[in-house]
Order: sequence, then structure tokens, then C-alpha cells
Amino acid sequence: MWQRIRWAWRNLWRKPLRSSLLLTSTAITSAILFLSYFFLMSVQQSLTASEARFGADVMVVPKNYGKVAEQLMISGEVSPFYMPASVLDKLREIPEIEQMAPQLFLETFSGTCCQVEGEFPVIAFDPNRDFTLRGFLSGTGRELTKEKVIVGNDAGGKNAIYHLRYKAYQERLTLFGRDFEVARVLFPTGTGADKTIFMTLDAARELRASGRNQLQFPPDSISVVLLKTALGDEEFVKRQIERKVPEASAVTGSQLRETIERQLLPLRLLSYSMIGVVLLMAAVQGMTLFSALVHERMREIGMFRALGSGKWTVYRLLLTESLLSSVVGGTVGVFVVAAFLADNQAVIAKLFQLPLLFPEFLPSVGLALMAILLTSLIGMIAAAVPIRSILRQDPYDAIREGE
Amino acid sequence: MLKLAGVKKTYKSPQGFIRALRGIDLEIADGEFIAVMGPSGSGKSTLLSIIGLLSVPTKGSMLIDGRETSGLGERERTKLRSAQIGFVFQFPSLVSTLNVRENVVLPKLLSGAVTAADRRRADELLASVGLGDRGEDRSFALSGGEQRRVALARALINDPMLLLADEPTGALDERTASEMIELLHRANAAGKTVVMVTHDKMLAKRAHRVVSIRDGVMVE
Repeated sequence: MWQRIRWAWRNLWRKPLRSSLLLTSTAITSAILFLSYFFLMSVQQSLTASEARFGADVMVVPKNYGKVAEQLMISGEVSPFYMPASVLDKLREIPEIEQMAPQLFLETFSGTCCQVEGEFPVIAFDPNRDFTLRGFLSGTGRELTKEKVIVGNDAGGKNAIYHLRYKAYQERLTLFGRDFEVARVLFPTGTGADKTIFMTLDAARELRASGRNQLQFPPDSISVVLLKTALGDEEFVKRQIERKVPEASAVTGSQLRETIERQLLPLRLLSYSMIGVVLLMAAVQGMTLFSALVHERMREIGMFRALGSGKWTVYRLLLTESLLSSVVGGTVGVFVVAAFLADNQAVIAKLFQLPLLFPEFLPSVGLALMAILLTSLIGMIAAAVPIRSILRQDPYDAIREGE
Repeated sequence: MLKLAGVKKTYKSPQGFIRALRGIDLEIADGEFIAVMGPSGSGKSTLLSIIGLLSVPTKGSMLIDGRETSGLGERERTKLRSAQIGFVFQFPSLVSTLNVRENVVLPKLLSGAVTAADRRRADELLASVGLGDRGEDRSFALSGGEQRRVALARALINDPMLLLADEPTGALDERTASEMIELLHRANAAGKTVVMVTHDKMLAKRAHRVVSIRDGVMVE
């Protein structure tokens, strides 16, 4: 087998231009495949994260704010409404609630955040109980304390990329008369949260108590509580809240998930169509190239058979050439794209302004292998068709036609 | 050993059907050296391809050692060809990506793997055609005559009983052509049956028997 592989490899080298074209073609195919699936995976991850962030199973808001709650869940924007923090105690009495993440909307800060001037909504939250931002936190950065804030990707300005990439990068921000250090910058969410500044509930309450600013939210209040429930308990929990917590309204997240899914459907369809078109083009291109290749070598193929080689042996030799070129080209394509993505993750995320969370290392490796495998498979199928047609001929006819 | 009876061959070409052989009856004994002569398009190469099991007669039969071959399947024909028939083509037939020794063992490579014994045998054959020291050379570094000699060594690697040579001296100068014929005679003397297609009457005269073909029929 190794002798055949070595020979096939040498045959590829015999025609450097043709082999380079073949390699480039397969490299582009695998690169597009990898890229498409990579973005699909990223969007899927991001959707999951979005569901965690905004589509908590149930969102609890002050009474009569239920209708605006869903919009808030999707947009991630803030609205100055409040309810007593004692709502949390009442919610704790509902055993079907698995997690609670209270948030307090402070005010919209007008000023400069991370060298960007604009309007930045400020939200306080409990980092120990929060499950909404987890999916958007990068690996770099520092732990959130009372002296630090987390900023959305847009609020992070141009420096967001440095925050996402370099742990040592530091920046300070003056908010409501107090200096804060930027602990982390979130990955883009594609929602209003990208312009939001997040601080701890303790920090917000200290600011309010200090009285040296314009913060007016009622003491011991919260704005919303995002809830995680046991599977299938959403509606039940909603009804429980309506019964046991009269000062609050509850909205379920299922409707929101449907909305997000609907919004992402065109993007998915586009990606799948692109993949389909790429596969088809690659197959046609491969067939054309291999058709030219085997026709050019008809006499050689006929001669091989005259020398005692069976059809299957010649078939295997030519398929090995196709496999080698596909594997090498595919690997090059995937490697180039993966290296580019790895090196420019933050830039791409910022550029797209879409919910985009890149897959981890192992899923990415799996994806790369799948792209190479698929490219190789297409290469082999594309090669098999013209090879078969040549091998149907008598060896002597092949020699004659090749002359 | 070899018997053709009423062999006919019709090809389909873009111009229509071509009747290349119109009924050939021929017997070739073991150890014979036969020259097949005829003008271009007379059907001599087609005859060689049928004898070499490269194509199937449209009609008629061919027996090798009493065994009918025209009804054999592709796999059996390949097996028989690999074991009993060696080819020397009229075109440059060495594989440029392989060195000289690898070209000689090519039939082994195509039918499986090459062993150390095969390589030793290739070196012996190369020595016998006067190229003992060229095994490692690239095939394209050889002259036309040397390439034909390598092709002859390759044809003998499986130790076939029948050696088929299609214009083995074509495009060679007189001296090189003579050397090539000498090598074919040496193979014949070693027991191989040789069937050679040639245009050259001088070379044909050195064969045991000359078979002439014109318009697909024998004109002995």
C-alpha cells in the first residue's frame, strides 16, 4: 500500500501545475466548508447563550410591565421600572425555580466609556447568581468586584478587541462620580446589551447610598428577575408567580426562543444553501479536472492494464492520487482558515455585529476533520466517475485513443 | 501453443465502424519467432492486441495452450496476461515518475507489492540488456534505445512464455535497432515465443516466420 501511495504522490508531483490547481480547488472547498460550518456552530452556540442571557425560562417584572418584558428580553435594553427586592424571598418559596438572577436598571449614562462617547444603559446584577452573561464572557479579563464593571462590546469601543485578547490590558471608567476598572468586555450579542455597562448590585446600592450622584432608584428594589425552571415547568412557575407574588408579572421565554429561531432561520438556510452549492461546484470542478487528467493518461492506463494490472488496481492508484490531493488541499484550506479565525476572533466578532460565539478547540478540530473528510469524499467521487468510464474500455482501445 | 481461428475484429470509431480484422487463422508454436508485417492500418497491431488479450475478437476463437480465451472474463484475462504475456510497446512506455529499476518491476507493483527478490530479478534483467548500472537513474534520463531495452526487461519480469513487441525498433537508429532485435532473439533463444510487429523487412527476415497482413486478412 505504501508503495502505491508513494507512487501516487510522485505522480502528483509529475504535473506540478495541474496538481497545484487540484490542491487549490480542494483547499478552497474545504475552507468554505469549514468556514460555513464554523459560523453555523458559532451562531448555534450564540443562540444557546442568547437563550441563557435573554430567554431565561421566565422573566419577572413589576406588575403591569409584562407586555414590555418580552421586548426587553430580546433587545436587552433597559427601562426604569422597579419592584421591591422582597419579591426574591417570595420567589424562593417556589421550589420549581432552579436559578434566580436579579437585575436592577440604574440609569442611562451619557458620557465617554472606553474612549467611546454615547448613551450607555447601566445595569446592576448579582455576579454570583447570574446565568445570563456567562455565555458572552471571554476567557481573558478579571473577576468582577464592587470596584469593577463589565462593559458590552460596543461600549468597549475599539479597545474591546484588546480586552478580549489580552488579560493585562487595563482601562478605567468614571461612572456616577466613582472610578471603576473595566474587568471584562463581553463578546457581541447583537442586542442592546452591547452598549450596556454592568456592575454589581452591591456597587449600585453603595452609589445610591453615597448620595453624590443623580441615581434615583428606590432603595431595596430590583427591576427584573430572570428565572431558570425545571424542564416543562415554565407555565406552571408563571402561574405560581401570578398567584403568590401579586406585585409582579411573569413572562415565559418559549415565545422568545421561537422569535430568535425565526430570526436566525434565513441565516441558517443561507449557510446550508452555500454549503450545498460549494459541494456541488467542488464535485463538478473535481470531475472536470480528473476527467482531463485521466484522458491525458489514457495510454498510460491502457499500458498498465497491458502489463497485467486489473481494473481495480488502476482504479485504486488513481483514487489514491485523488485522495492525496484532496487530503493535502483540504488540510491546507482548513488550516489557513482556522489560523485566520483563531488569530482574529475578536475582530471578526466585532465586524459581524451578530451573536457569534466561536466553538471551543475540540469541536473546532472535529469540524476541521469533518471538512477534510467531506472534501476528500467529494474529490474521490469526482475522480471515480471519469476513471470508471476509461476503465470500461478495452486496454488496447485506451492505448489507441491515448496516442 | 497459440491458435487463432476465424478471428474478426470490428471497431466503432467517430467515422463509423472499422473492420480491422476480417478472419485471421494463425498457429504459433512454442519458441517460435514471428514477424507480422503489413502497411499502416492493415490490422497488425489489432492482431497483436488480440493475441495479447488486450481486446476481445468480435468473432472467432483464440486458444492459448488449448484453452479458449475469447470467452474469458476480465479478471481471468488480466491474470493470464500478467502470468504469460510480456509487452514491448512502440511508444515510449516508461513511467517518468519511477526510476529505471522501478519501471522494470512495474508489473509487480501493479499486481501487488514489490519484493526484494523482484528487485534482484530486475537488476539481473537490466544487466542482461546492458543497463546493469542504470537501475537508480530516472527513466527520462535514458536515450530512446535504452528506454526500449528497459521496456524489454520489464516485459520479461514476470517470466512470460509469450513476448509481444509492437514496432520495437520504431524511431531507433540502425545500430540501436539491431541491438534491440538481438535482445529479442536472445529472449527467444531462452525459450520465449516472440511475436513482433514491424515495418522493417530486414528485421523481419531475421524472424523464423513472416506473417503479412493486408486489409485485415493474411496474405502469407
